[in-house]
Amino acid sequence: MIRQHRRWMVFLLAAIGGWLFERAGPGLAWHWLFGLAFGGVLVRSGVCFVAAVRDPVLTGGTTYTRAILAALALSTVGFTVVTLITGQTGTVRPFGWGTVIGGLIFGIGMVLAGGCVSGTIMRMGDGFAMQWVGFSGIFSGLMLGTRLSGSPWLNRSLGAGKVFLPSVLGWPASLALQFVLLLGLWFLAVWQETRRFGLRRATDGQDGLAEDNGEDCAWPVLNRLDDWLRRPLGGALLLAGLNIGYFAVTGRPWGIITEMSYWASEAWRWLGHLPGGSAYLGDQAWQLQGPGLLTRPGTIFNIGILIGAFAISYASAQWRWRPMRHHRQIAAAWVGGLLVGLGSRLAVGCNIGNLFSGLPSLSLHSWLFLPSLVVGGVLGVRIASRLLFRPVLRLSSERAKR
Amino acid sequence: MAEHLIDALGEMCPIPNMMLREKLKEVAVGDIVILETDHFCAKQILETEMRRMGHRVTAKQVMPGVWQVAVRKVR
Repeated sequence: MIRQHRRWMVFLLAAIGGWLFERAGPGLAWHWLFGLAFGGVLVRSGVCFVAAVRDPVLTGGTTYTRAILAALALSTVGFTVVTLITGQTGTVRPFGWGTVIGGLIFGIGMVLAGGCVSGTIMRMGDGFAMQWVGFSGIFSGLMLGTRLSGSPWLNRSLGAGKVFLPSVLGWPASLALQFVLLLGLWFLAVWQETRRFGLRRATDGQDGLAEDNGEDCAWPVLNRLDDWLRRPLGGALLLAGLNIGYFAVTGRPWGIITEMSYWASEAWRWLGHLPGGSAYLGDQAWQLQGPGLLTRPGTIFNIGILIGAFAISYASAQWRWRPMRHHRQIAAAWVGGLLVGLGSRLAVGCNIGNLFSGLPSLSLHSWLFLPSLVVGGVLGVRIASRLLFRPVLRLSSERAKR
Repeated sequence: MAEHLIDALGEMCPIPNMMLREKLKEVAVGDIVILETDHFCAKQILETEMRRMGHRVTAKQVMPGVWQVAVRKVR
């Protein structure tokens, strides 16, 4: 459902923003355009990394889990081609105990906050009040985390360094290992879903009420793209395609929170505290003296996700302000956000850099982050069920009876 | 054949899913439960999961950013 007259708003936004950023620095327009596209695909497809970890445990549903595993397989192929042609490696990061503990904290936080970092920014654009609170939590967590990142303990905890799998195992073995592991996870997801739902085939839709597709766009291409986007698998594969494109064009795969940690350190600087030396962030984080914050590629990209999510949501007539139902959601969003921000600093990245971009980059840190994120997610479901889901459910059913 | 309406506006994911599952346990076979949500991801998940459970499902956008998921309990 794309509103005719609002379609032009999106194109104007892309064109004018692209032109302005390109004037500010060569190549910056790409970050803006890809940011908009990521935001738009996220908001239209509803691909949710939290649901991919949470739902297999909570309900046994693995729709998003399998969609994201397929996207990881596709991006592994794409990233490998890009790396072999351009010689650039993707997101390869240091790891150690920090990765494990950070992933655990991150997993708990994202279930409570109802969104990972990208999901939070996308939902802010889509009008969710809860995620605006969550963002303030994430930022607080990042400010706390940037203080910690100077600590010798954290530097030691990431001491294992970076490992790019093909440089250790060679390309054929690392790719084979990658696909075997992804396939194993896919079978695990199918097994879990069958265990919870049984072997029955899913019914198809249409039972009385007609499906409302609203007014269609005059451009059939956009309609077909939108139909694709509305399916979890289509959305996830498009995200993978965008990520491959972004990596090929700019040499930098999708990442979101590292840039936000620069904002946090900038906030510390503004408050008059200069962050201390840091072994793993030292090479990049405190070097904001160069270009201003608004001409940094990552910042433009992140703002693009927010604006893209808003613009596409508005243009497709699904935007509205979505207030929270319960006071408990405010606390959950903020505390969850804090854990997400803090965990991402301990693990040097969020589920995007450490998973969605890191895994296809064949970096060992991702295969360490993934299990701890899943364990964190399981713990998060336990904690959230007790403190958040069940109390809220009780409140709502009492309200319904009145 | 009764119709039940669940108002899940403003509820975070996965509350709508839990509300619908709880309601489906209470109602009789053949009843329709309609859940209203402003959370698109919740609508997506409900649609696929309820179909996977063997129920009949239709979802539609009733106003900008609000979806109704109608589930007819089959078993």
